[in-house]
Amino acid sequence: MFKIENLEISLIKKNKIDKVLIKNISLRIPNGSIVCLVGESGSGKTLTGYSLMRIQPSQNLKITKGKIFFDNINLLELPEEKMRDLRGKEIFMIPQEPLTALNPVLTIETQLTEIFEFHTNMTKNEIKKECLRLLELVKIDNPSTRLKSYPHQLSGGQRQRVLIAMAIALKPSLIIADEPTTALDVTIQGEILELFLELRERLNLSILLITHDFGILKSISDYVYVMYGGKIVEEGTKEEIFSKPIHPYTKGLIDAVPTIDSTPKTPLKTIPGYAQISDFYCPFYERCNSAQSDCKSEFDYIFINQKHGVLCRKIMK
Amino acid sequence: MQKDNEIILQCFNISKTYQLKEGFFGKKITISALKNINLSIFKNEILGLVGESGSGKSTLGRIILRLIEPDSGQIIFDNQDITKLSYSQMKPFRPKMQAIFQDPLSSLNPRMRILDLLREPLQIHTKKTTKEIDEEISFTLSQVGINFNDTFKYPHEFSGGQRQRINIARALLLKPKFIIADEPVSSLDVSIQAQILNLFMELQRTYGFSMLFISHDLRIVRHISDRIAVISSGEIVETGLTKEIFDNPKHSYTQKLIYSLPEKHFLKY
Repeated sequence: MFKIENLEISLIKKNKIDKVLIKNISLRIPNGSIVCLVGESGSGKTLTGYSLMRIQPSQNLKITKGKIFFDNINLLELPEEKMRDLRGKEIFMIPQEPLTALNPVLTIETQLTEIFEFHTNMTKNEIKKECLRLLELVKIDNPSTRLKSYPHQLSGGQRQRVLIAMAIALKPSLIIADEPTTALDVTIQGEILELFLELRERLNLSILLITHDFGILKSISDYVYVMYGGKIVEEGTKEEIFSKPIHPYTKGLIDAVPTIDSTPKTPLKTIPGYAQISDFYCPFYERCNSAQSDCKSEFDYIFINQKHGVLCRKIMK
Repeated sequence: MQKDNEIILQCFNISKTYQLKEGFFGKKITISALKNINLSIFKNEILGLVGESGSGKSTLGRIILRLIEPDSGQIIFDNQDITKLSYSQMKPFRPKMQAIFQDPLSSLNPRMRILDLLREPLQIHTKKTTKEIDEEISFTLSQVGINFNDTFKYPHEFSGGQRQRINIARALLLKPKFIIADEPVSSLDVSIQAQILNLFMELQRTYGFSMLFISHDLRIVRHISDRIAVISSGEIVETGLTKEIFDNPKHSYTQKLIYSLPEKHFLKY
């Protein structure tokens, strides 16, 4: 079980907090569940994902508040060595682009072997066997020849599979997958998602899926967090979010995407304006149709039932 | 079926191959990017072209625009064969066919103000005075939702959605009969995508141009197109009315594409 409590990530300039990018985020990833994080680019999805590994993509970013729990250990208090041990073993992050995530000058075998050499005491033979087994598990044809290949000799889908193989190598509790299908073709997307589902069943994995594709959300997520402007604005089970969205942003997002059942040639509902940094408490204030003056100041995050929470002033009335 | 005189663009047996060398001393390999493509686009319609990456979608678009030369085949635009026309002979046709590309930033010259970028096509293709040109720009910008006062800015000062609006305005300025839009919304955020798609549908109704809408996103293509052509490894495997393609896909590849949408794919879960 992973838990983030009141996390705040800030941009640091000259040892001072310049801007708070992630504001007061709390989320839970129960064992064996697929949790989705959706939102526009720049909303802080990836930053939140990285923070679970205690990695910040830039030196100027720091976690300034909050706790991150893995079972009962607060990851933010661990010394760096212990944390390094956990990365790969308990948490693995599949970065956004499968093309750039692999080292272009090393074979797949070298890159897979590295993980075992670093984290385990297995012999060379055992490692080789394990590598083959992993590639079979993620359904790569001809695993023994593929081990000798370089990343550029593989297709996008195969590279993504190799990354997933690396991710599950040490049987971690959590995989963070950042836009795992965006760079892939439609036909491959389905296969990769199916693989995630299958691996979850087999290995009791938790998966944090960062995405902006509502088709993915609808199909494989258990629980959804909607992010906007560095805050979680709504959360809930997939059913709750899609059947009873409350936050104007969630509603807007759901309506803005043409689906396979929408009526062609009709105007899509849009969210006016574009994403910008808001100075007000509600990050969506500038684009919201039902915004009122009291949305500018602080208000509570409310759970309307056990499976559905929202950050919106409207609901309090 | 519509009559022949309502066709704006026809492609006959278009083929294109590329030569690749495997290694420095290696053998030459011929890769065929497009094989015998036949395609017609009617006046006033949006034809969606879907396929996976590498299927030849964009190559076909570029060949139609005469940006690259096909190995064989014929392109008939507005009842005239434009396949063999020289650069200068093509010039009168250029304003009639315009293109909008995937990356809105790289299709705008970073060193030019928006106003200069938008003036250029009109200065080249018309004999209007600067005042007339600016009036026209102002009108077209209002159609796409950009303020004329912003034209003194440079491309990097705009957001992705605004940049794509500027690209659309530039394409519209010459009142084209035909527009090729190559993945025009795939680099945009979801909430902005809807704005741009609405804009396309609205403008198509007011200006009445034909459009070839190239995309890999089936949901978007389904929403915006009148007809759809499915392309796979350089061959068009199926064309038909949007509804027919989605309700009753005939070719196995089309079926595979539609089935691979997460909504369809995971119904069993």
